Amino acid sequence: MTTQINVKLEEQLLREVDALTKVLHISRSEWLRNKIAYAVKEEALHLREAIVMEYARGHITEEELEELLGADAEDVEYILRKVQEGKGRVDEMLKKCNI
Amino acid sequence: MKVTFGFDTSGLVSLGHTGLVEEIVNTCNIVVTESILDELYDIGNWGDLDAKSAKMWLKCLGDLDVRDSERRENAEDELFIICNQEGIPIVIDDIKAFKRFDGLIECLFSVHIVYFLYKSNKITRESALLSIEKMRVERDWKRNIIALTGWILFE
Repeated sequence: MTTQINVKLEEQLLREVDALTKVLHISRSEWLRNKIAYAVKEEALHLREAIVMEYARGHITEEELEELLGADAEDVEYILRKVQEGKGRVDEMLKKCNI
Repeated sequence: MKVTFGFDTSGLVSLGHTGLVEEIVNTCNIVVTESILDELYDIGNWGDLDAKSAKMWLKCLGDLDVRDSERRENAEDELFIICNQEGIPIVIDDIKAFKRFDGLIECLFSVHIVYFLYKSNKITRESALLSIEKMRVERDWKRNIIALTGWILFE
Protein backbone atom coordinates (compact mmCIF):
# COMPACT_ATOMS: atom_id res chain seq x y z
CA MET A 1 0.00 0.00 0.00
CA THR A 2 1.33 3.42 -0.84
CA THR A 3 0.29 6.89 0.24
CA GLN A 4 0.92 9.98 -1.78
CA ILE A 5 2.65 12.88 -0.04
CA ASN A 6 3.45 16.39 -1.22
CA VAL A 7 6.95 17.68 -0.78
CA LYS A 8 8.14 21.12 -1.85
CA LEU A 9 11.68 21.24 -3.23
CA GLU A 10 13.87 24.12 -4.33
CA GLU A 11 13.77 24.36 -8.13
CA GLN A 12 17.55 24.00 -8.38
CA LEU A 13 17.49 20.82 -6.28
CA LEU A 14 14.65 19.41 -8.35
CA ARG A 15 16.60 20.10 -11.57
CA GLU A 16 19.57 18.21 -10.12
CA VAL A 17 17.32 15.29 -9.11
CA ASP A 18 15.82 15.19 -12.59
CA ALA A 19 19.26 15.24 -14.21
CA LEU A 20 20.37 12.35 -12.00
CA THR A 21 17.27 10.26 -12.63
CA LYS A 22 17.74 10.80 -16.38
CA VAL A 23 21.25 9.35 -16.14
CA LEU A 24 19.99 6.45 -14.03
CA HIS A 25 16.95 5.84 -16.28
CA ILE A 26 14.55 5.80 -13.36
CA SER A 27 11.66 8.04 -12.44
CA ARG A 28 11.96 10.93 -10.05
CA SER A 29 9.51 9.18 -7.66
CA GLU A 30 11.43 5.92 -7.73
CA TRP A 31 14.72 7.68 -7.00
CA LEU A 32 13.21 9.63 -4.10
CA ARG A 33 11.54 6.51 -2.68
CA ASN A 34 14.86 4.63 -2.71
CA LYS A 35 16.73 7.53 -1.14
CA ILE A 36 14.16 7.98 1.63
CA ALA A 37 14.11 4.23 2.38
CA TYR A 38 17.90 4.18 2.58
CA ALA A 39 18.02 7.29 4.78
CA VAL A 40 15.44 5.84 7.19
CA LYS A 41 17.42 2.60 7.57
CA GLU A 42 20.71 4.48 8.04
CA GLU A 43 19.24 6.89 10.55
CA ALA A 44 17.61 4.06 12.53
CA LEU A 45 20.96 2.27 12.65
CA HIS A 46 22.72 5.41 13.77
CA LEU A 47 20.10 6.21 16.40
CA ARG A 48 19.29 2.69 17.58
CA GLU A 49 20.50 3.30 21.13
CA ALA A 50 18.35 6.42 21.34
CA ILE A 51 15.42 4.43 19.92
CA VAL A 52 15.86 1.75 22.63
CA MET A 53 15.89 4.45 25.31
CA GLU A 54 12.77 6.08 23.92
CA TYR A 55 11.02 2.72 23.96
CA ALA A 56 12.19 1.96 27.51
CA ARG A 57 10.81 5.35 28.61
CA GLY A 58 7.49 4.59 26.92
CA HIS A 59 7.87 7.42 24.40
CA ILE A 60 7.50 5.15 21.37
CA THR A 61 5.21 2.17 20.90
CA GLU A 62 6.09 -1.48 20.31
CA GLU A 63 4.93 -1.04 16.70
CA GLU A 64 7.18 1.98 16.18
CA LEU A 65 10.09 0.07 17.71
CA GLU A 66 9.50 -2.75 15.24
CA GLU A 67 9.28 -0.30 12.34
CA LEU A 68 12.61 1.24 13.28
CA LEU A 69 14.67 -1.73 14.46
CA GLY A 70 13.15 -4.59 12.48
CA ALA A 71 14.09 -8.01 13.83
CA ASP A 72 16.14 -6.50 16.68
CA ALA A 73 12.98 -5.08 18.22
CA GLU A 74 12.03 -8.51 19.57
CA ASP A 75 15.34 -8.77 21.45
CA VAL A 76 14.99 -5.24 22.80
CA GLU A 77 11.51 -6.04 24.19
CA TYR A 78 12.80 -9.31 25.63
CA ILE A 79 15.85 -7.73 27.28
CA LEU A 80 13.81 -4.90 28.76
CA ARG A 81 11.27 -7.37 30.18
CA LYS A 82 14.01 -9.58 31.64
CA VAL A 83 15.90 -6.64 33.16
CA GLN A 84 12.68 -5.67 34.96
CA GLU A 85 11.92 -9.24 36.05
CA GLY A 86 15.49 -9.77 37.25
CA LYS A 87 15.22 -6.75 39.52
CA GLY A 88 12.45 -8.51 41.45
CA ARG A 89 14.49 -11.69 41.68
CA VAL A 90 17.53 -9.86 43.06
CA ASP A 91 15.31 -8.07 45.61
CA GLU A 92 13.94 -11.46 46.76
CA MET A 93 17.46 -12.87 46.93
CA LEU A 94 18.63 -9.98 49.12
CA LYS A 95 15.61 -10.40 51.38
CA LYS A 96 16.33 -14.12 51.82
CA CYS A 97 19.95 -13.37 52.70
CA ASN A 98 18.88 -10.55 55.06
CA ILE A 99 20.99 -8.05 53.15
CA MET B 1 27.77 -13.95 53.57
CA LYS B 2 28.64 -14.27 49.90
CA VAL B 3 25.89 -15.06 47.42
CA THR B 4 26.72 -17.62 44.73
CA PHE B 5 26.21 -16.95 41.02
CA GLY B 6 27.32 -18.89 37.94
CA PHE B 7 29.01 -16.51 35.51
CA ASP B 8 29.15 -17.13 31.79
CA THR B 9 31.98 -15.59 29.74
CA SER B 10 29.66 -12.91 28.32
CA GLY B 11 28.56 -11.86 31.81
CA LEU B 12 32.12 -11.73 33.09
CA VAL B 13 33.35 -9.69 30.13
CA SER B 14 30.46 -7.21 30.53
CA LEU B 15 31.21 -6.84 34.22
CA GLY B 16 34.93 -6.46 33.58
CA HIS B 17 34.06 -3.27 31.67
CA THR B 18 32.42 -1.79 34.76
CA GLY B 19 35.62 -1.67 36.81
CA LEU B 20 33.77 -3.39 39.67
CA VAL B 21 35.67 -6.69 39.61
CA GLU B 22 37.09 -6.23 43.10
CA GLU B 23 33.68 -5.42 44.60
CA ILE B 24 32.14 -8.42 42.83
CA VAL B 25 34.74 -10.93 44.05
CA ASN B 26 34.37 -9.56 47.57
CA THR B 27 30.58 -9.87 47.51
CA CYS B 28 29.82 -12.89 45.34
CA ASN B 29 30.98 -16.47 45.09
CA ILE B 30 31.75 -16.71 41.37
CA VAL B 31 31.21 -20.15 39.86
CA VAL B 32 32.77 -20.73 36.44
CA THR B 33 33.94 -23.75 34.46
CA GLU B 34 37.29 -24.67 32.92
CA SER B 35 35.84 -23.90 29.48
CA ILE B 36 34.85 -20.41 30.57
CA LEU B 37 38.40 -19.82 31.75
CA ASP B 38 39.65 -21.05 28.36
CA GLU B 39 37.36 -18.52 26.67
CA LEU B 40 38.67 -15.74 28.93
CA TYR B 41 42.24 -16.66 27.98
CA ASP B 42 41.28 -16.56 24.28
CA ILE B 43 39.55 -13.18 24.60
CA GLY B 44 42.51 -11.91 26.62
CA ASN B 45 44.68 -12.33 23.52
CA TRP B 46 42.52 -10.14 21.26
CA GLY B 47 44.07 -6.82 22.29
CA ASP B 48 40.78 -4.89 22.43
CA LEU B 49 38.57 -3.63 25.27
CA ASP B 50 37.06 -7.08 25.82
CA ALA B 51 40.61 -8.43 26.20
CA LYS B 52 41.29 -5.84 28.89
CA SER B 53 38.11 -6.94 30.66
CA ALA B 54 38.97 -10.66 30.40
CA LYS B 55 42.43 -9.99 31.83
CA MET B 56 40.91 -8.31 34.87
CA TRP B 57 39.18 -11.59 35.71
CA LEU B 58 42.25 -13.67 34.95
CA LYS B 59 44.18 -11.56 37.45
CA CYS B 60 41.90 -12.77 40.23
CA LEU B 61 41.73 -16.46 39.35
CA GLY B 62 42.15 -17.33 43.02
CA ASP B 63 38.80 -15.68 43.74
CA LEU B 64 36.92 -17.75 41.18
CA ASP B 65 35.24 -21.04 42.04
CA VAL B 66 36.40 -23.02 39.00
CA ARG B 67 34.46 -26.25 38.49
CA ASP B 68 35.23 -29.18 36.30
CA SER B 69 32.16 -30.14 34.31
CA GLU B 70 30.86 -32.50 31.67
CA ARG B 71 32.20 -31.29 28.33
CA ARG B 72 29.58 -29.77 26.05
CA GLU B 73 29.71 -27.93 22.73
CA ASN B 74 29.32 -24.55 24.45
CA ALA B 75 30.91 -23.30 27.66
CA GLU B 76 27.58 -21.85 28.78
CA ASP B 77 25.95 -25.28 28.46
CA GLU B 78 28.56 -26.72 30.84
CA LEU B 79 27.87 -23.94 33.32
CA PHE B 80 24.14 -24.50 32.92
CA ILE B 81 24.53 -28.13 34.05
CA ILE B 82 26.29 -27.06 37.26
CA CYS B 83 23.89 -24.19 37.98
CA ASN B 84 20.91 -26.41 37.32
CA GLN B 85 22.18 -29.16 39.62
CA GLU B 86 23.01 -26.76 42.44
CA GLY B 87 20.17 -24.25 42.01
CA ILE B 88 22.55 -21.38 41.33
CA PRO B 89 21.40 -18.33 39.32
CA ILE B 90 23.30 -17.88 36.07
CA VAL B 91 24.61 -14.48 34.94
CA ILE B 92 24.70 -14.34 31.18
CA ASP B 93 24.69 -11.52 28.61
CA ASP B 94 24.47 -13.80 25.58
CA ILE B 95 20.88 -13.22 24.49
CA LYS B 96 20.54 -16.49 22.55
CA ALA B 97 21.83 -18.54 25.48
CA PHE B 98 19.74 -16.51 27.94
CA LYS B 99 16.62 -17.37 25.94
CA ARG B 100 17.58 -21.05 25.89
CA PHE B 101 18.03 -21.19 29.67
CA ASP B 102 15.20 -18.84 30.60
CA GLY B 103 12.51 -20.74 32.48
CA LEU B 104 14.80 -23.69 33.17
CA ILE B 105 17.00 -21.92 35.72
CA GLU B 106 17.18 -18.45 37.20
CA CYS B 107 18.84 -16.21 34.60
CA LEU B 108 20.20 -12.75 35.28
CA PHE B 109 22.05 -10.15 33.24
CA SER B 110 25.31 -8.49 34.26
CA VAL B 111 23.44 -5.29 35.20
CA HIS B 112 21.62 -7.27 37.90
CA ILE B 113 24.98 -7.90 39.60
CA VAL B 114 25.62 -4.14 39.58
CA TYR B 115 22.15 -3.69 41.09
CA PHE B 116 22.95 -6.43 43.62
CA LEU B 117 26.13 -4.56 44.69
CA TYR B 118 24.16 -1.34 44.99
CA LYS B 119 21.40 -2.90 47.09
CA SER B 120 24.05 -4.59 49.26
CA ASN B 121 25.50 -1.12 49.94
CA LYS B 122 28.81 -2.05 48.33
CA ILE B 123 28.59 0.78 45.80
CA THR B 124 26.68 4.04 45.51
CA ARG B 125 23.90 4.68 43.00
CA GLU B 126 26.19 7.08 41.13
CA SER B 127 28.93 4.47 40.96
CA ALA B 128 26.41 1.87 39.73
CA LEU B 129 25.12 4.16 36.99
CA LEU B 130 28.62 5.13 35.97
CA SER B 131 29.68 1.51 35.74
CA ILE B 132 26.75 0.47 33.54
CA GLU B 133 27.45 3.49 31.34
CA LYS B 134 31.03 2.21 30.90
CA MET B 135 29.55 -1.16 29.98
CA ARG B 136 27.21 0.46 27.45
CA VAL B 137 30.01 2.35 25.74
CA GLU B 138 32.38 -0.60 25.55
CA ARG B 139 29.99 -3.41 24.64
CA ASP B 140 28.77 -4.12 21.11
CA TRP B 141 25.20 -3.78 19.81
CA LYS B 142 22.68 -6.11 21.51
CA ARG B 143 24.88 -6.56 24.58
CA ASN B 144 24.84 -2.81 25.08
CA ILE B 145 21.02 -2.95 25.14
CA ILE B 146 21.39 -4.73 28.48
CA ALA B 147 23.46 -1.85 29.84
CA LEU B 148 21.28 0.70 28.07
CA THR B 149 18.13 -0.57 29.78
CA GLY B 150 19.97 -1.19 33.07
CA TRP B 151 19.16 2.35 34.28
CA ILE B 152 15.59 1.23 35.02
CA LEU B 153 16.98 -0.78 37.94
CA PHE B 154 18.04 2.43 39.65
CA GLU B 155 14.96 4.58 39.11
